[in-house]
Amino acid sequence: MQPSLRTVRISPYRRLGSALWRLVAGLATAVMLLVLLLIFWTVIKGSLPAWSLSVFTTPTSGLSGGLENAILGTLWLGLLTILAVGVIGVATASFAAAYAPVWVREALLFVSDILSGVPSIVFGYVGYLAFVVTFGWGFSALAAGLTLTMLSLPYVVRNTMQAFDKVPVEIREAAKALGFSRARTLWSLMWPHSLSGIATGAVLALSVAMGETAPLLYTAEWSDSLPNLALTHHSVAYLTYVVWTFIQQPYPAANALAYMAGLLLMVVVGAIAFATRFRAMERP
Amino acid sequence: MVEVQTENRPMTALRLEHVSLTAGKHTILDDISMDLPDGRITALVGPSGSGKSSLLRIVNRLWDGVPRVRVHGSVWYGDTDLYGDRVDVSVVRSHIGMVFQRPTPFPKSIFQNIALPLKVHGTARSEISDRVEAALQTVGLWDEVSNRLHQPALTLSGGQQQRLCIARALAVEPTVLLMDEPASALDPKSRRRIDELIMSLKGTVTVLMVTHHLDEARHISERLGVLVNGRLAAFGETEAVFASENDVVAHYLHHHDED
Repeated sequence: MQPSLRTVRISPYRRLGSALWRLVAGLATAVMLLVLLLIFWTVIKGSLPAWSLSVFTTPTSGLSGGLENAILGTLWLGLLTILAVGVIGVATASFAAAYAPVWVREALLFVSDILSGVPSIVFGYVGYLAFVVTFGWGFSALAAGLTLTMLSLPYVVRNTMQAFDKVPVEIREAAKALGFSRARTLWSLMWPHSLSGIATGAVLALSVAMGETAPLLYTAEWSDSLPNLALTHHSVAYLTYVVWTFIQQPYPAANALAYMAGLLLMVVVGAIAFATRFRAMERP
Repeated sequence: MVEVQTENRPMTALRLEHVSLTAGKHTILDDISMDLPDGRITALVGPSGSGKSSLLRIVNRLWDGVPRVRVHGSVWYGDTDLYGDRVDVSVVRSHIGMVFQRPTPFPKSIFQNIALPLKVHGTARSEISDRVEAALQTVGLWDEVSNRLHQPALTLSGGQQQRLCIARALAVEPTVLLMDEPASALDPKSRRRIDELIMSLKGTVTVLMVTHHLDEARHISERLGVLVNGRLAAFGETEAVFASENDVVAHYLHHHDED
């Protein structure tokens, strides 16, 4: 017998439902793209008066000047954060993967989830009390960097743990059977095998940290001068401060700087996200 | 357990004494005792789930750190109880190597796969490339890979990968090699090569291997153990075990359709 499919005429209702659904989904997508466009439009249009090289070459002075101090400050804080969060995050995930019993592992993931749900301003307050006041570091790069580290730690821990989970059990077992210590298995097999996962987590953490304002108000304060290498007792400038403060001023020049700061942040964070996405797509 | 007559008693490389394995309330292996003659090939056969692989894993302490699993009894290696106090597991595993059912090359170069365990066990840097070559020669892989030692091991075929894993285990010069169905995941030709390789180890390394293939066991091994439901139903000279008239053993050995 010839195979045949029973053919049914698709009912008008179903056609209508299907068309409606397509319409709603399409509209939602359009709204999302529109929002993105609107953001870009607003920021670019607002920043136009500030488009000049001096943005990169002069620091702020009061409510005018350039953004050099804020750009360098953001990069400086980003560097401190990614160093600290990389070391602490990978160490935590390594402990969980190689040494901790299963329940500790689960508990760590749970704590990490809770941590990522804490509002960032709470981290700011905790960082202020711990680093600025109790440790006596004052408003400083170290206080700010470590506060951003606490806040972005969950991203590195989770991504690293997931990368470790992708190392085949057979390989870990083979290493064990060959007499590898857990530390040796970690650094000879698990880490090299997980590099891209670790990098993804670190970069995600970095982009989250660079976009934060509230925790920095409490820990870095603000400074009109360029950041120096002093870790403590020196306030640091950062781009989000400009966005937050200069936009409320009645001066057009200050407003333009605020838009400019926003645009720079979006470009940097966007570029980082794009770079990691691109790398992730390259992998088979 | 059926006692099967042994003619000459060579040196014993490994002696299991009343070994049991429990996972929570379940008994996986029950009161296993056996001697592995030095430099000989001993095969373990038995139905699926009879505990063959579990027994193998006991010998180089792979159950260490697995929750709820406990090993009872003693495994004597010379005059050392491998489960006694103050035994360095890493040293145990350098004396007792293991090869798994599926090839498990590290995601590194062919060279590094063998060099890494050598480094772990403290081989001098200057000796490493000679030892790597020697190990690859032993498993007959040298001619095939000598011109691409630094390519990823994962570019090798399945059979080559398994020989690489055997080379990796042999490189640290263990006296005992555990093999868990080392040829079963491979094609017939690669399987034959592995079998020949195992036979060539006779006299230098004591082999304890698990297999599903009775022909292979009969062909390769000098000693044979039959595990049924976690108990050693027979153990002795291979031919003698095959001639055994014990119901359970004979039924398994002669009415077993090779899956």
